[in-house]
Amino acid sequence: MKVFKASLLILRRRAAQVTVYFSMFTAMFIIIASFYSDQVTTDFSAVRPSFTVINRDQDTPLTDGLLEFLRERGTEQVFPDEKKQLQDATFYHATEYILIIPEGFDESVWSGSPLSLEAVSVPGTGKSYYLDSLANQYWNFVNVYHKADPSLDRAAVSQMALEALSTEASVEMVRFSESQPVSELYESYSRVQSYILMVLTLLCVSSITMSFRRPDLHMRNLCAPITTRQKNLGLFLYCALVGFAVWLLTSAVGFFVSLPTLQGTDGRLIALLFLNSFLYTLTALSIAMLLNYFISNPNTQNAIANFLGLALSFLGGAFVPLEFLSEGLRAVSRFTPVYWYSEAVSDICRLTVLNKETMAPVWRSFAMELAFATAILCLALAVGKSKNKAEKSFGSTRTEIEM
Amino acid sequence: MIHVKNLVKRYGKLVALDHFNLDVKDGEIFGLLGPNGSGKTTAINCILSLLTYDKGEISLFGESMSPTNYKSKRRIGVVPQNVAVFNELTVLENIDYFCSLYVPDKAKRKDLVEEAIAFAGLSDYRKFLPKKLSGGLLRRLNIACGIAHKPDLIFLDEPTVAVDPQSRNNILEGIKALNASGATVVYTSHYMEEVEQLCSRIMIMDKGRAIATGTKEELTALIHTGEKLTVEAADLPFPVLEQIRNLPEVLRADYADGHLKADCKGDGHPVIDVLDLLRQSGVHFGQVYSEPPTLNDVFLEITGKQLRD
Repeated sequence: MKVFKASLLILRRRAAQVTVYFSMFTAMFIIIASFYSDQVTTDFSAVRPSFTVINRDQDTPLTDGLLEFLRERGTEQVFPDEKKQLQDATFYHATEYILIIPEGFDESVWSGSPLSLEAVSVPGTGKSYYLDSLANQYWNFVNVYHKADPSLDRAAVSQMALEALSTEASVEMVRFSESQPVSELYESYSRVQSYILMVLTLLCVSSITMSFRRPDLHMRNLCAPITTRQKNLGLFLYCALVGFAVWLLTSAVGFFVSLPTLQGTDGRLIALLFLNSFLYTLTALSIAMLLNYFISNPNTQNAIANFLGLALSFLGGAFVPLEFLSEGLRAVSRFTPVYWYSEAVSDICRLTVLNKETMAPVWRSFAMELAFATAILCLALAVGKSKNKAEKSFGSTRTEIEM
Repeated sequence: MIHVKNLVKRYGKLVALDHFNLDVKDGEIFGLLGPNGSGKTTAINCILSLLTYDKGEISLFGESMSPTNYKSKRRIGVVPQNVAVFNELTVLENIDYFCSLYVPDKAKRKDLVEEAIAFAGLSDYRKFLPKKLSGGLLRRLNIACGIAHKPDLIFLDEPTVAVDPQSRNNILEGIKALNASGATVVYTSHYMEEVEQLCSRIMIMDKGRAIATGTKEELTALIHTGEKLTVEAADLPFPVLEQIRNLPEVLRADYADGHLKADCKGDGHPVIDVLDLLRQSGVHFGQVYSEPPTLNDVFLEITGKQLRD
């Protein structure tokens, strides 16, 4: 417990460095969060987009039918056929879609080689695409019925097209989960949390091991009647406590900042995300234990923490979706623990129902994270053993002969 | 208390300790004197089981020493050559941590830590971080960390390196006080004056070997050189110098820069004879100095080189 207590004291003196990092990450996240909407929903309601039809041809049963069809699904706005007025109407969103029927269009449809319709829409809106597709559907049906039976007159063809278009398929919305999915904000934070966890864990662990591994202090500790097991137990307890604290703190920050966007979200999904970040913390601790053998001063410490944190997080898709990475990088990323962490985040956030099948990929990612943690820990123990052997045979204990 | 027999330690082809033998008795201040690289620290590191060795036997308190001999380790205090303290802990926290490795009882430890702070004269600095301390105070903190648990055997490895004269005197007085309170002290240094002043017995080391061991008097008795005489003389004719060289108790004599320097034989005291001869020859002389042989003379005569080479 002496080593454990001393470690906590040392961390307290180095708290400023860790606090700077933590505050920076938290502030960044809060700023990002402020740009997100409060609620993400998958519910929808039908809208009636506004439209205008400028008919430069004659009024015929076919054009009347089109107007009737569009009026059922949208709100007609009437404007005179003047270029400036029509431009103003779309600019000020007075109408979202203007369909111009050119002169001779009716005849061209009847003769089997229809002229092109001209459409003006407000850029970037889905409503105009919707109306465009409605108009096309109508003319396509007209075309089909006319070709199928050329003896039918225009009114009959129009009527048949309208009837066909009025047929509706009943859609039943089936929700597997009564809750909302995980919000985009919390999902993003969960991804970036891997970087924060890695940096903070590395800093906290290496701050202590760096001191205890100083050759002169190491020698002094070796002189004392304290077993290697006692010393390692103290350091292990410290690492466990620090890892747990870093995980809890970063998870709590993410959760509370995202709380307004998590109303109605299944608590089990949040719990799974917490478990995922906890497993990743174990991996980060293992990495920190391995790297502590190579960190000898604060400069190396900061450089390694930042470089490794950024590189792993980038490769694992914490900052940029993996789809944007090249095939080669994606192949490499599968060999990083962050990849499996990010995969788990994606899988959990997509879950609508929790059963054996849907949970399988999540458990697989969890298992991979645990496997990484175990493998890296074993490597750290092996490196530690070899380093200790080197020290026993006069590795880093300075004497006058080395001076 | 310490028994080392035929200790051999090699670093590749370099033999750091060559059949090194050492016996330290209970209650003494034992000095290990030798130039840098003579093997003093290596010897201590082997004794403390910090280093493996190729051959030999080491026993402390009558028991064979090993890295897991915690019973013996509990009775040992070590003050390493470099200041080995945590930069992030205060003076009080540092001493308390190192003391806690030996003394688990909190109440007892509190008293011991306070005693160590008072002993090292660090009462005004207990909440200071090491980086705020001067070199001398750091050395004192280093010592306090090593002796707070009141060990029976203390190893002090060159504790006065880079320390101002005042702090050095404080440290030396402190070591005497530790010894007076019952601790056996093994003190390594390449400052012969300190060793002469402090140690009851001295071992002179060179190239990993003990070349002489004994009290200061025993060591100086080993060599032919005795008293060293220096006489200020404005001019000294060569025939007079030759006459001085021929005096039976003079080992060698030289004249340079207005000073006559004569080394006397071990038990000789030719001061009166030399001064009589100068007076009779009409040589005017000024101040006369006479000093007994030093450990440097012992080292010089045995190895043919200066202790600080």
